[in-house]
Amino acid sequence: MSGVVLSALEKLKKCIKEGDPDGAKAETEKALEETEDVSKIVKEALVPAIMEAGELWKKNIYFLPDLVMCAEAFKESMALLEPKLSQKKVKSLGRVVIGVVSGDMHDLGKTLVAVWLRSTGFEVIDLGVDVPIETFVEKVKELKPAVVGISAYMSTSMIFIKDVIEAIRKAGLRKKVKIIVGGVTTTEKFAFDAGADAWGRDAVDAVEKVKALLGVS
Amino acid sequence: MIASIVKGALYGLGVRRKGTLDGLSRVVASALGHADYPSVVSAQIHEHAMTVAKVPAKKFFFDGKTAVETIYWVSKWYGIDIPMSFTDVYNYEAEALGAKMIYSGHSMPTIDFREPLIKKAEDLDKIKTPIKADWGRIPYVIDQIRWNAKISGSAPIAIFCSPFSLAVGLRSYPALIRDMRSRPEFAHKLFTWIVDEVHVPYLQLLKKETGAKIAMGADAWACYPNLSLDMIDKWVVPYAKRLRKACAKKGIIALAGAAAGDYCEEDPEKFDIEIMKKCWSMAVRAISGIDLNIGMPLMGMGRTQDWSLEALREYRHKNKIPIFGLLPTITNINARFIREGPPEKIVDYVKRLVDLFARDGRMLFMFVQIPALTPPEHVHTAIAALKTYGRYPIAENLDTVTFEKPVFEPFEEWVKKQ
Repeated sequence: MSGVVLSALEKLKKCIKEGDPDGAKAETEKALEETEDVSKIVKEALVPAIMEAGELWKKNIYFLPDLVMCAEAFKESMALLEPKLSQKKVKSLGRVVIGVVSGDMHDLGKTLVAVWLRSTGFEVIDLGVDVPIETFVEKVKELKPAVVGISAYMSTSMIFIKDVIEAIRKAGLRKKVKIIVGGVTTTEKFAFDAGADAWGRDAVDAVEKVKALLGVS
Repeated sequence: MIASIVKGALYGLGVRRKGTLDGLSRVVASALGHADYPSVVSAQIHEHAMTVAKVPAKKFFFDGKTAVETIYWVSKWYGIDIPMSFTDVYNYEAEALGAKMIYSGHSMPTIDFREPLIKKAEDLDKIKTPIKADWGRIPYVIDQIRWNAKISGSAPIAIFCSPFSLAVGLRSYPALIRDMRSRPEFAHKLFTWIVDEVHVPYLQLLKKETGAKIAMGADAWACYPNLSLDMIDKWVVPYAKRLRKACAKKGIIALAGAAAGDYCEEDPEKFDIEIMKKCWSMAVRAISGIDLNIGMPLMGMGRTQDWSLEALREYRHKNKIPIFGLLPTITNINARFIREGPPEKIVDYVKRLVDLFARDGRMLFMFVQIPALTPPEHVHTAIAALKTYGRYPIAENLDTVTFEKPVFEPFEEWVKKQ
């Protein structure tokens, strides 16, 4: 029995690492037939697959399409696993609220960061794109995340990153939350000048930065 | 225009180096040999120009004349020789075909990628073509082409969103990549449809309305590493070729896929000169169909300030063209670098470019993008540094040349006098 489950997990891991969403869905279904231990599926297949894909990205072996397909495969798998996971009390590394600023509809980078954070064990609340400043503040108040991720793609929308951070500060919430900034138009200098605690160059880097902010490994 | 080209050619080749050069003649001279200093060209400075000139987005992105004039005057203020005065080129066709857009008071319009026009494969058959002159903001596009030609005195040139980037706009990047991997037959159907049903009649329409016989395709979504080289070869180059051939039959020169040569690696640790060289060759193949092992060195949108520029120089010197000699090189300053500066670093970088490339001639300098919030001082500084260090004959030791911080009038005061 154990051998069969391991084999299914290996196949699932391969599907995610190689960015095969249809295969990931099928293998997740098979894995769920074999075991009720959803955490095991996540820990032994999904997490290492995403981590290994991240390493290949760092080595210039994987490109953006590869990461995007890994994320798609991960999402297909998680769609089946999440309802079962939510029934169990799963310990998270921390809660992260993430979103793209107002007037900006580019969600590719933000979605990748959300997937990578989830695969690492963070609870991620994705506010989506075109998120008004007030919504960021309300969600920080309501959900009390450990980290807020703010992203922008356009050089005209990135100015709102600073406004979001300022609004969080004015609401008296700044000391309660760490802030990370990302998006193709941003830089580390911009992030710090805007009042953030960290800047993520890409999804893999962002996860490392969030872990460092929270002192988790 | 012809007179400027001839003057630039004679100047560049060293036949006659007298008189002052205008923007076009300086570009030609820089490409063929050298001008008085390396010419400055630009693309994608629209958001910056709009911000500097304080034009509301709702006017700038809907009134072609305003957009072209704004970009023109801001470019002139900086001393840019030739600006490519187009705005949100990745949106026009998708918007006209019915893609949901978000319009804001401060930014350029953007496609709502949450709800792509082609959600399911069947949606493709529901989209009406060909694009008509009064659909979406096509009147705005037509106005931009007309006003660009009028203001620059050059032949009208159309600009369009190349097949790959348009496919992203219609389908979204993740869904398109998934199609290309899991449903290649649908992806090929989509690209073929874009070329045959959208682009060819659309470029004919622009030609009819404006006289534009040359059309240039923007394609940032197809840049490396948004796509791997294999994917560019399989999905970008063939459809650039298909479009080029179909348009040639209609008397239009359509240049798509040039962005394949734009090596946009952001991580300095991942910089790879071999991949960069392949990108350049790929761009030549996409534009011309000719399979060469060399391409024109183009520094493009990447984080060039952190690259090994010496390696680029070596490439240039090792790949001379028989009789012609050195390859013209388009040097660049990265968008985030020009925004953040500081001016001292910008000066040092431009000085390094001049030392490595301008000294031998055939160097052009390009702003591939100037972000909205870039302090004008940074742009003036970059150009002043180019004119100071790049003034021919170039000093043996650039450290002996004194650079003076540029003094400039605020744009609103300067433009009143024009």
